[in-house]
Amino acid sequence: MLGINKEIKQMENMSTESIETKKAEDQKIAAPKIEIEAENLNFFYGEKQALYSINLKVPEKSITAFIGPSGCGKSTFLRSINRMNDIIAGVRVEGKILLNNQNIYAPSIDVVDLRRRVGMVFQKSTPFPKSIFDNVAYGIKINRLSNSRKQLEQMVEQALKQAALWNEVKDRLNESALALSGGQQQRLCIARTLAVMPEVILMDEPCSALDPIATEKIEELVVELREKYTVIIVTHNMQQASRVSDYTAFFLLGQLIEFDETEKIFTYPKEKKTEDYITGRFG
Amino acid sequence: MRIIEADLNKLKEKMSLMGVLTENAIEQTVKALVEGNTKLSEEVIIADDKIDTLENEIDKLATDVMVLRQPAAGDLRFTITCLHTAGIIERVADHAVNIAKHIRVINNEPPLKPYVDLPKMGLVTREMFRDSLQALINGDTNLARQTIRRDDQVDELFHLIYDDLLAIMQSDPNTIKRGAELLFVIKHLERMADYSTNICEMVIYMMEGKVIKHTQEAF
Repeated sequence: MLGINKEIKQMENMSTESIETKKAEDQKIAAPKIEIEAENLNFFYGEKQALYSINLKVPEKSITAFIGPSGCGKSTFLRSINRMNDIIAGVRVEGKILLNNQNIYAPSIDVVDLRRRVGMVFQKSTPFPKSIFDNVAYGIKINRLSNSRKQLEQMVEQALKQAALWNEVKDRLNESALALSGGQQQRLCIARTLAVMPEVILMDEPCSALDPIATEKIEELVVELREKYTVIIVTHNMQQASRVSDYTAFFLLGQLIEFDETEKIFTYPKEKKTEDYITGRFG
Repeated sequence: MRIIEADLNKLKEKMSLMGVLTENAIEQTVKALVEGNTKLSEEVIIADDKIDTLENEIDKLATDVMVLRQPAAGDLRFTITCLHTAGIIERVADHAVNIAKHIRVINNEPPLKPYVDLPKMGLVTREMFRDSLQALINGDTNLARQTIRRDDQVDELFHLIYDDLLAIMQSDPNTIKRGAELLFVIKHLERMADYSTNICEMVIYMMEGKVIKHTQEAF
């Protein structure tokens, strides 16, 4: 109550002009740092072009949702950000994707390290046929991120806690990961991604195979992850996009139609195609 | 047709009906005043129940649309606009009822002078309200902006009648009771016109996504 009274007093003391100046200054301060930038990105599966001149800036420590109808290129673009498309024969990329101002398609880039820095969680959870502990420890070990067993255990615990799974598995870390429920397996995959200290987490429809309760847990987790990581999530569920994301990018036929703050996309999109898609007129 | 379309059409129909009934209330209450027709004024009071019922129906329907259909973009802004505007229209109707109640007192008193400016004020107010609803139903932002500009005309008439009534009351204390009632009447009309501008502001939000209420946006 005292806090509110103090705020009211401050507002009364500010003139209208100074209120407007403060608002403008707040907006300048709030301009986010860009983590990922696509510059004129074109992508080809052999002769077939899948992405056309994508230009996009993803702010750091935010959640960006990619939406669009099936086949629009959103998953292709997602996989381009950690070069997972490289494993597909015949693909070709023109243009750039910058990760913290570094072009990830430059010849000097270590793709393995890139995929540690830009982790990925898939639609179908992919636990290894190993114990819960070993699933999370695997990436730490092969990247040589720990110096001792004790440090390894601490890192595994930390990752499982960040993935909101620790309390459910702490007493059975040696059990098989395949015995976990679908939602738990997905959180385990997220823990596995977090264990190797990424900067960016890519999620390709991470909840589409999960029930509503498990989905809610993943969504809550994603919102928490925003504090430390840049998250990009591909989703067919527009309500999910509006629930969890700060920014939304709408793709159609390989083109980026519109990118803006989620609140603006869902209340007043600039492009008619965006409006038509999110109001269910097609898609 | 999209599933939500049927719901949005129903909302539009109810808004139209509520608007028509309220415009009738304005027309009849002003007519009752000018003609000294107490019976007509009582009909305005009775008819208000239907308008109140419609407000509740629109509130419920809009809420259902939001929770069950999860509208976005234009659909969302339209639903929110209906929710807000139903409340505004209900208040306009209440002002018509309040005028009708004043008519009971006014008609028991001798007339001050022939009504000249007051029917004009009633007409402009009614036209503003009608146009604001038309702008809403048709998504017509040009009409909305024109209607907002007309509020100045109502304000001018308000001040004209106010000064006139004050002069009459000051010159003859026996006219104070009726004069005071008429002051209330013109205040109700002035508030109705203000509400019509509020509806037009919602139309601009609905169509353009811009919130212009409480701003200095010039028309």
